[in-house]
Amino acid sequence: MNGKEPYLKVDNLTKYYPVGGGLFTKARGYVRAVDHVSFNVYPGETVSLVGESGSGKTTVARLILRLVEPTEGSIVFNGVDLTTLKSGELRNIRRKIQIIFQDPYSSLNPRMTVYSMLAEVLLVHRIISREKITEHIEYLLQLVGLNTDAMYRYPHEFSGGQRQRIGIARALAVNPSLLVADEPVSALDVSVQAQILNLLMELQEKLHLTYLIISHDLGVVRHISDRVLVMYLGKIVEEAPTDILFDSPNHPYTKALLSAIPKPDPSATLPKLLAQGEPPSPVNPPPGCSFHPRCPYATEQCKNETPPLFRISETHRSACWVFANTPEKTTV
Amino acid sequence: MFRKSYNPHSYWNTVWREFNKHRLSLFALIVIIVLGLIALLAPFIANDIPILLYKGGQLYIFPNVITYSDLQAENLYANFDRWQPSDGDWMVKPPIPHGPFRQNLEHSLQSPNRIHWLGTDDRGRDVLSRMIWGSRLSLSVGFVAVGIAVIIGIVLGSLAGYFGKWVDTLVLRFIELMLVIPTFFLIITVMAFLPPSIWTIMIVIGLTGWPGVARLVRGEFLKQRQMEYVLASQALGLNNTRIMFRHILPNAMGPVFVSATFGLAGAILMESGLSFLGFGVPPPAPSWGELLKQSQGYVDFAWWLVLFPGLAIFITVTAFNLVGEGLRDAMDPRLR
Ligand SMILES: Nc1ncnc2c1ncn2[C@@H]1O[C@H](COP(=O)(O)OP(=O)(O)OP(=O)(O)O)[C@@H](O)[C@H]1O
Ligand SMILES: [Mg+2]
Repeated sequence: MNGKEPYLKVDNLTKYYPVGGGLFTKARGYVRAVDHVSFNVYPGETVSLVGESGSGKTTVARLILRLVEPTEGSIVFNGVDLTTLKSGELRNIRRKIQIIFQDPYSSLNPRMTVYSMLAEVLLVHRIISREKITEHIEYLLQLVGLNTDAMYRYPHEFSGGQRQRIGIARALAVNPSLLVADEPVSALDVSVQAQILNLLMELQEKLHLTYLIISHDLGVVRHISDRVLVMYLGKIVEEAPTDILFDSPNHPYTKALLSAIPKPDPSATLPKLLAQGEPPSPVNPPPGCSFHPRCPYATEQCKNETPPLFRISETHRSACWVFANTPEKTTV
Repeated sequence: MFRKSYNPHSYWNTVWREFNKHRLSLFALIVIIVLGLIALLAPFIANDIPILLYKGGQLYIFPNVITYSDLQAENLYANFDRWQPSDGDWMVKPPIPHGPFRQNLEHSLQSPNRIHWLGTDDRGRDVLSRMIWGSRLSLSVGFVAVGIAVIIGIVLGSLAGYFGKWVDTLVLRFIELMLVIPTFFLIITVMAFLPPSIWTIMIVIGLTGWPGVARLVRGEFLKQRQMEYVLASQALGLNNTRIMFRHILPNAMGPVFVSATFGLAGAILMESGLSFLGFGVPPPAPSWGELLKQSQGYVDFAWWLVLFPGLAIFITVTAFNLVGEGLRDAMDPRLR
């Protein structure tokens, strides 16, 4: 990874949503959905973004796809800054980045057959000539493991897993090189989850794709990712290669997430380690380290000063005053 | 492998099944269909020009809808009421053998009798015949006006809902403005200045009828625009016009149909009201509202000019409203 140019370079990416106030009245405050987030994704790797609900993961995905306007920051993809592009130029480049959504029920237009859905993008972007279109749609469906007779059916005729495959086929139709998957399996039955994850890994190999995978489930992440970014209240609090993150996590929040893995009940995300359960509101984030109200190790400094992302090693970064800023970095 | 059997129209099938459960709405739909047939077949139901005519050894088929030049030359079309078949000639007249325009001042303001089942108006024209022909006018004004309103409403509503921000604010202000102005008085004012014609009425009712549709479409677009299939289309680089009209609109049409049905009732009522006040379709065109108007101003109150056209208006408007309600219930949110 080192020495290579990043394929996607996200720099100080920020999205504040105004709350209260209308078009002519001033907002009463801001939801800091994404707050100065920076990270790189290198060609061919799989990076995961994990965090609790409301930490801003979906907003990051939508910012990268330019479905949401950033408040601040830049997104450089393959050397081109997407945030400064005009809509015309954007349309051609954004095709290279595609997204897979969480909800396989709302991500497909209920009034369109699989054929018309796929044919539309293929024709609009002149990816294939009209005569070869059926053949190409068959190829795409086979690629994602569906029967070719799925083509003339409507979304409601499929199961969740099959719909997710259709969503993947649609994303692949425009020949993307970076795939952002926002909780691609969290809406699916456990038995189907593994199938979809395996499909994603097969496709990565076959089509040389780069992945940014968003998940709140560290079990999913461990299985497929090369590196992990941990997000909390709009900020990245830890970044490390998957093995390192799971073997020697640094940030207390990461540790809390890890200790929650074996729990089958997904609602019990933050057990034992943490006294208070609920994450604070992103409208008025606590001063200092935003995790301090829930952190058993919090000091005076944590309450007043926002920690930067400290470098623990070449590949490992963590935003913690207590564990990352001290000389003995290998605590735990 | 698939959960349900292949059926491309399952949404409308479900709506139809649900609609069928509403007996009253179903009945209202039948009333509307019958009314539509009456309007369509008016020349065959109420006319003094025969359906078939055998004259001078020649058979004329449907002279009531086809103008034959030799009959025209004899000036027969204007005088069929007085024409008596000579030897060997015969004709088949429609069940109500009175033309809607045929005046007979000697028979004016007759109450219902054997010849004129629903009486006559102030010029001796047959009321039933005029009502049957009037259904054409009412329905066509309704459909064209609602068509105009729906098109404007869809365009403005989808722009507002999809783009939001200042476009939305602008459209919303426009809608509010339209809702504040009493439409009926606006229309009367406008009609007072414009040359009276059926087209003016259709256009004016249509131009004032869109805010309801626009609001509905806007609401649907606001909802749909957050859906992931719309975001996917944007990420795939499809342009906004395509996303709005090919992807979102078909998913937003349900409420539009419902509102159009209610709109039809409103437009028909509006046309009758305008004709009643004398701002409607210019005479001698037959209109239900115009018949109502004639009932006034006579020493002897012509009750048949109130009762029958009034009933026609009431039944039509109620039928459209009932169908609208049935449709609204049948399309209940759980389907979407
Ligand atoms: N359009 C919006 N307007 C206002 N606030 C928003 C909007 N979208 C997201 N937010 C807020 O931004 C924060 C981050 O939301 P986001 O959906 O990115 O979180 P997430 O990590 O994806 O959560 P989840 O796991 O629930 O999907 C939340 O507090 C959310 O309420
Ligand atoms: Mg999310």
